[in-house]
Amino acid sequence: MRLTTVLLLASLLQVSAAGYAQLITLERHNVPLESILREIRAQSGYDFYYNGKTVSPELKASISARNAELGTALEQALKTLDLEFAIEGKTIVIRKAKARYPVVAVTGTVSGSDGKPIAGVTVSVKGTTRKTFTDKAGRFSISAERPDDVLIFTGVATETLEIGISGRTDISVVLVQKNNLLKEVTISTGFQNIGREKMTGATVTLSSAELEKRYTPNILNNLEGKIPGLVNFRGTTTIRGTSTINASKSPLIVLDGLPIEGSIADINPYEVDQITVLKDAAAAAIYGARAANGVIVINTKKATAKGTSVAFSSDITVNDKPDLDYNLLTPSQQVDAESQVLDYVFAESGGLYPTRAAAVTATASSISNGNSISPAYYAYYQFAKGDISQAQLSQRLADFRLGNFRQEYKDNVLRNEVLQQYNLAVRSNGEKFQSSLVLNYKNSNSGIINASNRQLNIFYKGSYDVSSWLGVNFGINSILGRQKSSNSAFAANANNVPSYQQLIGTDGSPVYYTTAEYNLYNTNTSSQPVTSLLFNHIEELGKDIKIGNQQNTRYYVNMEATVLPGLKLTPQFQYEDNTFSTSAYSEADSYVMRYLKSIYTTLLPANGGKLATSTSHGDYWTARGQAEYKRDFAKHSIDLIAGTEFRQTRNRGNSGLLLGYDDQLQSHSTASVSFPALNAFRNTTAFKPGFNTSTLYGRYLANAIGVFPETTHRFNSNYANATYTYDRRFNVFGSYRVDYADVFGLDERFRGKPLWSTGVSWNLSRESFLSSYQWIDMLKLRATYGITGNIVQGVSSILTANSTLFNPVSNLPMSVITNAANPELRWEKTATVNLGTDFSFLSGRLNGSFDWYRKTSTDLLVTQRLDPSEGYTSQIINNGGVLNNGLELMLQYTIFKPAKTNGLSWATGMVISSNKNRITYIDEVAPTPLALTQGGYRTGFPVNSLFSYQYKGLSPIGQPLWQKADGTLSSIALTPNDLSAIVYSGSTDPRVNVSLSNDIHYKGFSLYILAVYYGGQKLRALIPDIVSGIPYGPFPAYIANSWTPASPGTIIPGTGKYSPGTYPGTQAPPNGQLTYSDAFVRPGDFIKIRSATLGYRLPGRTVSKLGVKGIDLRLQLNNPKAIWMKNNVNVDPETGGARIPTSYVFGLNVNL
Amino acid sequence: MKKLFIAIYILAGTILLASSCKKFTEITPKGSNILSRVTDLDLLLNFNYTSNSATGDTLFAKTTAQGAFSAYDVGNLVNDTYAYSTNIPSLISTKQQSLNYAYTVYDEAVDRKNLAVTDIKYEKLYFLINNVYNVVIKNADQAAGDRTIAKRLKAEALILRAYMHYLLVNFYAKAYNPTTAHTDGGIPYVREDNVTTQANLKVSVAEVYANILSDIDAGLQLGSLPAVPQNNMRVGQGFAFGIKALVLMTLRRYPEALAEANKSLAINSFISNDRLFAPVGAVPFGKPQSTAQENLFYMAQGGNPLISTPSLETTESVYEPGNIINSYVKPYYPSGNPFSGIPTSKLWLSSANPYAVNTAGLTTSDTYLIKAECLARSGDLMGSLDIINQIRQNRIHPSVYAPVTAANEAEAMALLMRTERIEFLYTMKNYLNLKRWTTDPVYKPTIIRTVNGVSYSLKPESSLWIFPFPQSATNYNTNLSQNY
Repeated sequence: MRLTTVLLLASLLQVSAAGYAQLITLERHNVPLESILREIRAQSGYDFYYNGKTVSPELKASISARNAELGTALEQALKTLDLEFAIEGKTIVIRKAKARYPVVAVTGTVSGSDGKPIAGVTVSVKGTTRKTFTDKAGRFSISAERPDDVLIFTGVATETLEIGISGRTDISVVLVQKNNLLKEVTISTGFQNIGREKMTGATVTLSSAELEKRYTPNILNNLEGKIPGLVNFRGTTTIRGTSTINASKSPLIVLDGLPIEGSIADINPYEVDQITVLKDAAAAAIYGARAANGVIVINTKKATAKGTSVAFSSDITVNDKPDLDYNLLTPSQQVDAESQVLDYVFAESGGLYPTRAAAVTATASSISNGNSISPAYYAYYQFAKGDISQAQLSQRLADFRLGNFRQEYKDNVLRNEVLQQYNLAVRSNGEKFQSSLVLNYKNSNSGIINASNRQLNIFYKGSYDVSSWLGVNFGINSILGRQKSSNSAFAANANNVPSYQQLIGTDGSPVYYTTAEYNLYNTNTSSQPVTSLLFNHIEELGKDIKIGNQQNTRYYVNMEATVLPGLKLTPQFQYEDNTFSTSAYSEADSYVMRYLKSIYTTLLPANGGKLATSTSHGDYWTARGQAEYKRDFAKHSIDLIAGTEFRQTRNRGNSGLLLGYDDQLQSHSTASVSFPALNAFRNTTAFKPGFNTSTLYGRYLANAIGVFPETTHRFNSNYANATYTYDRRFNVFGSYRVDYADVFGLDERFRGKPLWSTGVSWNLSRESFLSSYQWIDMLKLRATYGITGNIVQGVSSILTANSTLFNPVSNLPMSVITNAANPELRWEKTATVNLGTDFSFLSGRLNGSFDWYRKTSTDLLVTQRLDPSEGYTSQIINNGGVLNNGLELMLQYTIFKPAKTNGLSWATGMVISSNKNRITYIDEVAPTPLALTQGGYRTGFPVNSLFSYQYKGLSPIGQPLWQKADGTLSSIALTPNDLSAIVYSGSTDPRVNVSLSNDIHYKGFSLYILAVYYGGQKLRALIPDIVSGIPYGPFPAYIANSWTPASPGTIIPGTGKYSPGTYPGTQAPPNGQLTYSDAFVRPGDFIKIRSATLGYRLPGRTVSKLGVKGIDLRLQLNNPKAIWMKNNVNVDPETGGARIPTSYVFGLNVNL
Repeated sequence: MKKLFIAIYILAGTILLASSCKKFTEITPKGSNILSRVTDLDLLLNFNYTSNSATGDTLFAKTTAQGAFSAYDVGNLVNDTYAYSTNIPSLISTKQQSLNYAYTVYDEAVDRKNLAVTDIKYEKLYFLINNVYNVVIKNADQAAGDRTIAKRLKAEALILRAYMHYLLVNFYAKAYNPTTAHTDGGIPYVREDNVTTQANLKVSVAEVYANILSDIDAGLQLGSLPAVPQNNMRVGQGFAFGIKALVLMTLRRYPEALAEANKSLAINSFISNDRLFAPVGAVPFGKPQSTAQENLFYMAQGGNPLISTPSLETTESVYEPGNIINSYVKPYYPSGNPFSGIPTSKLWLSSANPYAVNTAGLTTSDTYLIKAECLARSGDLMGSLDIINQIRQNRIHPSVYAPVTAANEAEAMALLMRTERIEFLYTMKNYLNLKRWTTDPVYKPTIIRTVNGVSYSLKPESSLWIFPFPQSATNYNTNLSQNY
């Protein structure tokens, strides 16, 4: 092949000439230049381009090079000739040299708009090959030849700047930060880094700059409104809807390349460098059987700038106290409400009892039996008995009105929840070794006295360039957490005593009262508790404490070995070890111990309390071996990876109980306790006669001891994918993965069923027919199809029995078969079609993306009913389907672009996602109206559907009525024949999500506001209960609007004497029918400002005086009152009750 | 060179790992018993045949018999008791279309198959057959461990599989009638080779009984059953001979039944003695679940027949005068019956000690009375009456007790039937016996219930004797046509 036939590549493929790997060794004297060039070509692999006139065969040259760089060698060869060279891609162009001028050294500094020097900026002289880089102080020095030479400043994160020398020798420039979306983003899929241009799949990448606009302790919350398709609503995160019924619905979390088992909440938010969300099959299919719910890939920061850098950040979040009064009567209203019921209870005639005397007798027996009696109830009782006068009764009621338990609780028990988070990152970047040490400390007061939640996160990571072709990365991340909270079932709840109860007396001493388990007034000596059962929330919060200890450690090491040009081998290994232990000490005089001792008397040790402990332990490892091959051939470019991954997860644990435990003495007397006797003790005789203790035994004693069965799962995956790019215009992608898992055993047909994907994309903006449209910066079309999987943990293909059981009659251990054999078990399968486009117009002022998808999930593991003669009434098999359709739009528009540094800039962004979810097939598993309304599934409806009884209000006598299948109204329970009367009243999942963000910068100030809209979801809220007597506790607010014969125009059933079941002619409504009535399904649509962040960056001068590189201050407001809610009953759709408390964040960021 | 070495090392490691893919994922899950050892199968047979306090569709509730062996519906049908915790006059006056209503007023017009959405008896009996007995029978021969024990477990499973099918065929099919049994629809007889994905076939009543007998014989032929089992939720020869006697008597093979009953009684002939109970004796009223000596196999709802209301006919005419429980212990709510709405009816409320009624298992009362019936039918009236009196002697206050006599088979049978009604009150046995007699040419029973002066009668030919297959079965198995 003649050298001259080599094609010249497009000039935009220009690559740096610095640092050739190829070294030239050549010794020739006065030989034809062509022969020297031929030698260099053979040694370097570079092709030459020149024309025959420039390099004539008679042209002679000399060279004496030993291990010289290509550029040096060429300079030597050409130095005596009037020729110069330029390297363009893999081609060396030889051309006639331009006229030479005396060389002048130009020096200067490069800084950012914040005044900080920028290291690593390429400075080159336009039209020549000369270039240099700025050092860590931003300084550079380059030789220019002509006074009209132009310097080009190119940085990774800055806009390119061209500036003429105009004869100067000292030039300092300020570079503007690049618009994030415009820069050539490298997308990390966890398996490989691939240029965004080459991607065919639907992905969204957020940089740390984007994430740092807002502070959230949990990085997941920071994704809200930034990722089209990702919805984090009421504690559930989904990507593109729910595509399963019984399997995991959460996305897979990948940290630094490997999936992690630890919680995403534990990831240090300051350490996140980049988050990529993989949404469609082509992007996610490489994760095979775990990818159906989408993948969130998180990469942590690495040392970038040379030298050592130190960054300190701190954010303090202060939360408002929660609204305890939500939907409850005020204390005074409650006294009135109780009085109304009590007038009826103690009526001489026409009351609850035949006579007042009968009411007195019944109350006396209730008191003596240890039932709960509210203070007002007792006052009425005393009055009815004649112990107090009418005036005394009135006085007592007046006194009660002065009490306000919830207010006192809020003032004395609750604290403004304060979360402090501090982060210190020390990074150093040497020639061959880079390391980061990151310390993160979190401390929260949990918003209540005697509680705390602390966590220390230490992350050390390093990377070592062993040689030019071999690099090693390793890291240890350790998280130590300690949570202290109340273990009491009663003390941490303000809503378990009457609203008018006092918590603290006027003299500041605690007021004693009882829980609903007992009363203050029992004087019957035969039914007295062993010890006092008086209770006070504040006291109790200090006596029954649960401590949780978390210890998570993650170790990883991986290697990158470029063994051949373009071929990289990357073995990786990660080990995680997570331990969580709890220890709950109920002191001897804690309420629960006093209560249990009163019930079980001598069966429990007389002294000491109890210590309940539990430990759960998980260890997980992943080993991956992967080969990556990347090569460009002229217009063709390929990128291949193939690998195998082995993974094991193991969880285990146990719990124990010490009775008669005394922490001070370190003694216990568990051995003296007979558990069979405690179990056999089913009904109390003295204290609370006839009270059934079986639930107490389980809850406080038996269930505290146990084994968390060891579960081990093993997975093996073999995968490969390939991207082929032609001329940077067309990309074709394919992936293939086979997963094996231990849950599949028997049928060869279903083992290792392959999951695959394919995609194409077209960089339309690179086509010549669009080149005349200057306003189009980038336009790309994408289309993908692929299949991903999901698995229900806990299903098995083999018949297994649970052997942890015990036959209490024969006193022998027993086994019961819990899992039917299902040899046809296989992965759930989700096939996704995705069509999308990415665009950037008007010099990056408007950019965004649009996607349409259709996710068809089949083979879902759902319950299929069977004739019970098969041994089971139902079995979980691969027999369900769900369809998700959706649209996603992301738009970013720069309203003001700063004309100069620190000028006004205003960018606004909008993210819109809509998702429609529908079950395409499921065997009807809800045989009764109640089962359907309690969470049944139906073909044709969303997975998270609300099905409701049709509530038709109250009859003329206040009887709640529901429509039956035949259209008639019924007051009794609907039967399976009335299933068709159950109506669909919406889905709990939002159909549409819109977020609007505004980011304004001026001088050192910045303002970032994020507003969100969630629409189309429904929720059940403010469901009335039947209040017929005097429940011990606060009264709900809706009873003020309940039915009475005088005020019939309401759908809230009557209370007290008017309650259904008490009022003559009525009966108690059937179980569950009010709860699941359509009338109490409320629309959940809302618009909220999620957060508003005001930032201030101290001016460079001030900062320099302080001896630091930069200081940022931040003030953030989270969750102010909703701007708009569709429901008119003031329910926060995000909680189903009182609104999320507003919080304030004070942040500080210092770079040293 | 170093580069090449590392490359080869990494590649070789990867290939080595990859070659072991399948093996890697083949692990035995811990915490799940995969039933490969004899001891595992033994644990399976320790099933709790009573109900625990858990309710609903929970794992814990499902590890017991739940309500499957309560005698509420069968007791109501044969007028032993009234519908559980129900106001009877109100039930009758509102004509509520419910199973309780159908069984209270014996109304065949009520569409029972539509009301029977599920049936815990059906579910639980087949659960036991498939997931206890069939698993043991299938795995016993291959399971690792003591062969003698493996054989014993298999024999236990065979015997119990036969018994559960005996109960099922009696609930859901016509009573055995030698002339029509070959064409009468029965139930699926489910063996260890059952395939879940294929709907089970319903076989004839005659075929069901043939299978029952063959399972019992197979169990006995293994020769490995102990005479007395380790506890009364396991079975031994006493139970095996007892149910063989019961099945043979149902098939009207009285002499053979008699022989088997005698074999069982030779192992256990204990009769409980009510005269020991206070106030007649000194022992507090009660009967333990786990150790009552008369149990051959204990299978029950568990504990007392709490909140059960015996019918007026039961308390006023079936109980003999001087019956210790009805007239002396009186485990009834002292101030009337707040549930039934029937004045003078009694409500069982004693809860001081458990009085564990064996509702669905087998006791020596069964074997004694099988023997008595076989003797009466073969003309040995004296032998029959001896047994009847032996039982009565233990039930009636000594001051009132007098032995009964009979002049002929019919009189002896009448005495036997009366004794049985009391002996088996609150159990499923009265339903099973009375249904057995509905096809008897001579002793066909007609049940008469009188509520507030109105009488309702359950004729021997009534379809109500046959329980409907629940919809949870018929909807998923088209072979299950109703047997009435």
